[in-house]
Amino acid sequence: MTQTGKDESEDGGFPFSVVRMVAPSSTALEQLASDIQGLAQANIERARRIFRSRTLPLLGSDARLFDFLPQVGNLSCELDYAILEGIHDEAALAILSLPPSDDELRPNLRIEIVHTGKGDDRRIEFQNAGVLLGKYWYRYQEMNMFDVVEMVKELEAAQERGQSGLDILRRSKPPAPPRRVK
Amino acid sequence: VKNIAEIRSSLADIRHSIGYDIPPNRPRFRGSVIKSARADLWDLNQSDDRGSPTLIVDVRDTDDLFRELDESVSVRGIEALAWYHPFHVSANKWGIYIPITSVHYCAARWFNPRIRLSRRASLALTVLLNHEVIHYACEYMIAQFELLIRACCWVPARDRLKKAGFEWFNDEEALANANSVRQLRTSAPRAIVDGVDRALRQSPPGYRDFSLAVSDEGFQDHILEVLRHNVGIPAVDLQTGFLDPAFDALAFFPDLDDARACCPLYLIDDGRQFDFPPLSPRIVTCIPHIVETNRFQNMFRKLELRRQEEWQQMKMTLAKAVPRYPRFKKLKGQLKGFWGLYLSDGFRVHIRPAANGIWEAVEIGSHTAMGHG
Repeated sequence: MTQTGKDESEDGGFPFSVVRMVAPSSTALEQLASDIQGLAQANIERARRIFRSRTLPLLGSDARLFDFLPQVGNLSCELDYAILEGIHDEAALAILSLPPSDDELRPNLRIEIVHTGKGDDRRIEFQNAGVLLGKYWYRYQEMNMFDVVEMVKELEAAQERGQSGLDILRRSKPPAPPRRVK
Repeated sequence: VKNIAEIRSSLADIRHSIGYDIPPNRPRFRGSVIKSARADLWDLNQSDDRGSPTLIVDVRDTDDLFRELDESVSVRGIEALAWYHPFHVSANKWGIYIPITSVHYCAARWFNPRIRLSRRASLALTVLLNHEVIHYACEYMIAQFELLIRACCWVPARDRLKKAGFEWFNDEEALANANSVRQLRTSAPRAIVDGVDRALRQSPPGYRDFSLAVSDEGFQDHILEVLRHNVGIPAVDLQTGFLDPAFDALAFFPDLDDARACCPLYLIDDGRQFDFPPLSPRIVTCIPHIVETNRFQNMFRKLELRRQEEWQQMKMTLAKAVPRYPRFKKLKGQLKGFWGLYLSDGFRVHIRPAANGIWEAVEIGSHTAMGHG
């Protein structure tokens, strides 16, 4: 699954991106004056709740599922505002604020988008609703024995014609979900 | 709160939403089971009865049992002491299960021994109930979403959890323990709350993280996290606007007093197998003896004849069975300790338990006459 893979995901359910919140570290908090530390911690807790409210838990991971990647900038601004709210001390602001980015087109965010792969092969990680829900996905359809036999026959025929048969494997369309906005 | 049989019948139309019927966990020890259709109708008193001659005495002593439970609680949290059996997997046996040995354990481990046993036992049972009722409230809320989006949520979420190698969802257990502490704070002195707080912190992860859910904001955040875990993926996939900041998902979470009054309770009287000071668990199924206070009689005399007749009729009904919720319910706030009995046209009676199974009728009148609205 790739970032441009909306069509690819059509039969896999909603593509969630995987994200993490970037909060000031405990070391950064220790550098704050004691009267600001409490406020900063409360702000971070509130930001964490905002982040949780806009994302879904991903079991076994500290990352979460996000439903609309283009909104990541807005959510980041909201988290930043929550973290810095009521803090006017310049030294504290310098510690808690996001560092300026070297790349104008890629500002630093309060949200880390999780990638898969390494080097040039880095791609945004997506998790599809169909995969996450497995057999409980409303469009999930198990093939019965007769479907399998028919598909094997068609695959054999395709191979005899010198074709890969991949189109046959991709062909099956699961039933429509119970309710879906077109 | 809707009837669970009705909810189950509607869920049956949604594929996979109802799991195979499975029996509840077996209790540690045998004992008679006292069932109440409501988890708010119990009463626990110290009894003079030390048991019958046929008493079965377990080979282990109480200290051994408590040590064993200490270990179980450190591994499984409160679920080692009491458990909730979900209605998604049981039509007739769903509800809260609490063995009396667990009540004795909590009474001994959590509270100052100088407090009288019946008070400690009642507090312990309340703490366990307030934990378990959260599991019911969460399941109820999820079922409402399943009916709304017509997709199964609870069973897949449970399976996802198992597949990821977890036995429980941390936020739900933190929420349940937080509810026990929050409810206790409204009725018990600080020293008692601190004792329970300390004990709950010895629990496994999730259970011991309840402090984040004790504040109103934290409590709501944890309810929503349980919802996001169970409902989030199908709800977003069906483009329902579930994650829209303007959507009030909490509206589906039932009032916890209502939830207690609608969830069955099974008290397992297994304490007789040990040499515990006897407790007599009792479910309030009927109220055969009611005495009317002077205040009540003064108010009663001023009522119309038909109201007076209705009360006489109600007393006869109470002698056989208490009315169903919400016609008979525990009152909150300034009326804590009282029960409300609702007559017709907004008239009601405030009653409270007195000694020896006798109840007192304290007030009667319309909603406004009773100092409300």
